[in-house]
Amino acid sequence: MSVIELKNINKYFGSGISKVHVLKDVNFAADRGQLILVVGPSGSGKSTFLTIAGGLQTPTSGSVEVEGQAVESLTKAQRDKLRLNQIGFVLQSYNLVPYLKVKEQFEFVDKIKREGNLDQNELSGLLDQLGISQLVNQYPGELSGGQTQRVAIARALYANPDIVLADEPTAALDSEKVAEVGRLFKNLAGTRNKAVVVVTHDLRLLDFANKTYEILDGKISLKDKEHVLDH
Amino acid sequence: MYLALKEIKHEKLRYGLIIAMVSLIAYLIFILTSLAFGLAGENTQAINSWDAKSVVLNKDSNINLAQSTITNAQAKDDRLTSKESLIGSTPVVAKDKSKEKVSASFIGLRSNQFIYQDLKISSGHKAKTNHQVVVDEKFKTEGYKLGDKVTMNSFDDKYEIVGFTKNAKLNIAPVIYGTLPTWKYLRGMNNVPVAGSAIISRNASYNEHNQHLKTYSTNEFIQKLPGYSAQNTTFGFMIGFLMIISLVIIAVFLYILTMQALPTYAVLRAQGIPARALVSTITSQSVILMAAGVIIGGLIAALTGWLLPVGVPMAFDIPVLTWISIGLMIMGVIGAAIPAQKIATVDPVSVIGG
Repeated sequence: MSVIELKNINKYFGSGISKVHVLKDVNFAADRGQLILVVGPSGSGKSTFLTIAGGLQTPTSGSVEVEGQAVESLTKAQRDKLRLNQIGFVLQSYNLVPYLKVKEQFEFVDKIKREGNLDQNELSGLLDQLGISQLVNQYPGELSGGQTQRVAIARALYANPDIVLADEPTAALDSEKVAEVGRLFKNLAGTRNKAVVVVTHDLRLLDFANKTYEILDGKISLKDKEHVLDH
Repeated sequence: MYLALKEIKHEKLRYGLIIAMVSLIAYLIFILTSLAFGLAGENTQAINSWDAKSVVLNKDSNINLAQSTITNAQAKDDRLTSKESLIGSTPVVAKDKSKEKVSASFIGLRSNQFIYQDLKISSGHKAKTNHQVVVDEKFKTEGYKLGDKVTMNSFDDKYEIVGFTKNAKLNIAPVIYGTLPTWKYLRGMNNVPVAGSAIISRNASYNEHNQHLKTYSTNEFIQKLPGYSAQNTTFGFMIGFLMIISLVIIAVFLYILTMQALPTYAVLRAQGIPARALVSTITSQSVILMAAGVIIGGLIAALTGWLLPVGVPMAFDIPVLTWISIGLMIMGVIGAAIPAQKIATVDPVSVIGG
């Protein structure tokens, strides 16, 4: 069973003559252990796809299932709980609380979600794997872009989610850092048995993906990496 | 609470300035309240010390002690019991050659009535002759001591200070307790059949027996003291406005800080952090800021009270100041309502890039 599945998703914004059909009959599934890219140009519907997959928005029609549970049937509080427990978000900006040190970012998760988080040994291992063990006493404002991104990934994984949804995680990174993030996501998906879904327009990540979907004008399709954005 | 404390700790200058602002407002509120209570107390200290429940005045006096006279015949009609005291009151200026003049209220008493009998003397003894007086301790701060002889108004007669008493002020002026014959003399009514200015009763339901007299409750009498109501109303308005200003300040600051931090709150909401946890953060911050401001303001007010000269009429009424502090905390919680509403309704989708 797929850990997250989107079935026949349609999403409209606006009404009347300004009504826009943003997602058109989108079907998507992600399994554990996979790094899946969802690529597409700006305005193609990638972000809407991500917010619907993460339970932040409801589709106009269709259904989203996380571990077989229909997200649209959940209350707002239950969706909060779903995101807190089962989905880790890695966002391109404002990802960390600016006035918490790196170690306090994890402490804060403990204050809200008291069970199921990584233990100290697992956290140390994760920080080592991400190469940020020495940064635990730094504030986000004292980190470089790449370091911030890695801390954000650690923050997302700390709550031990089944799914990691990343929004443009390589924005503003040079090619070397992009490769580093790509390897990291692939490694995390493989070694930690997570479903990692990365929404991006950065084709430099293609080499690391197990599967690549392309969204174009609201329609999603599975692509070979050789044929992505091949129009 | 965790985020609230961490943010305050990290943004020391920003939150320090807010606490400084709240401290100054709290300080001003505490000082004004204490001053209001101090002044109100100095208006009524003497009346309170008599434990009076009602005051009988001439009905044409407009509830003004200085304007009231009770004739011998009227006083005779009113059968005074052990719960009533006839007093004569007149404003005087007391002076001794080498000392500052003191504006005071002269109160003439009868030695067989309760005010005289219950008068608490802090040093010396009660007045026993027409040329002896007991004065409020304020005279001490002006350099007067037992045995000093003072003159009053433009009379040459000298009156010996034979005793001091605490908390004897009427209408802010210190009281000089003497005899009723001395009062008559000072009023220039030696040959007039006047008994006194008022009858003070410890009986709340005392009824005058003469049609030219009227009984007022002590509260009614106090409210009519010259300037008393106006002064209290003015202080009340000032304190009320300061409370509102404190509400506006905390609301505006928290709103600005919240708007700046809204993307962070949106991310936290996207990560599944419950809205109530974030709302409690801003509410806790507001309470912490107000509590810190109130404590600092209170300490500075206490220090001010300690440093101010004895003559400044300040009375720190701890229960009242505690209620005001609680009021300020409530203002803080109310001030956090708008930012809290912003946080509760922040759209996490807004931080997902397009």
